[in-house]
Amino acid sequence: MPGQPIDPLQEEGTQRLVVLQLLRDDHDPKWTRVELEKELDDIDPDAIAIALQRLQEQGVVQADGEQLSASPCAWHLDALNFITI
Amino acid sequence: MRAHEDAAHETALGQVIRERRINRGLSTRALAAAAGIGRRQLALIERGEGHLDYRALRALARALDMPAAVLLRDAEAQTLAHEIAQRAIVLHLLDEQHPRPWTRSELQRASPDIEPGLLAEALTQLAASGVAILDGEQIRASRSARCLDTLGMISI
Repeated sequence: MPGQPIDPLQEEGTQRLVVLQLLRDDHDPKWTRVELEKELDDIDPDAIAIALQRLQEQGVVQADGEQLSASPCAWHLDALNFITI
Repeated sequence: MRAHEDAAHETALGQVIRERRINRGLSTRALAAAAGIGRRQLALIERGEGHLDYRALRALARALDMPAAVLLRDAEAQTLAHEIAQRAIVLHLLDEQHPRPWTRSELQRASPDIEPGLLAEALTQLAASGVAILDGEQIRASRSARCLDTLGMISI
């Protein structure tokens, strides 16, 4: 529910789901927030926004205006088959 | 095959062709002429930047006097060796038992099966993709890689 404090474990789970979405092979590497929210429609948009902010701070997600993408680091680790749920 | 896997394979194939050419004492001009392709095209192929279609691959293999399948097999093996080296380095850099930055010699000692040239190439690739940070002699995992590890998204 928007405005409610978010459980840290839930927050990490949301971050993981965001990363997995951004690394999807069947989608353009660039996503909009609207597309992400649509795909993760069972997650509160505020939680997605917080997750995106944290991931950007850590350099896992890159933002270019409205466009979001996984960092080259995340893509490379995925290419090395490191990334898991 | 994903786009990045394609790129890695093309780079490996280019390296294999270059190694075979040098082993046979051929210049790029001589090999390009023997294979009937442009010298610039060959230079790009050797750097993994040029498009290598099946016809060009067969022509190069014939000029190098080896089956195209052998070139492909060797490129596969090289790609795999690079991936294994990179994976080993990443696991070392994320090792919580070794919280301080690594040095090249420490990494080399910790990975005795990886020959120094391959280790150096793997480090360069990891740095170029932002997985590793090279700071003089010090090497560490990037913040992004550490974050993914903290999230439990890095599997062995």
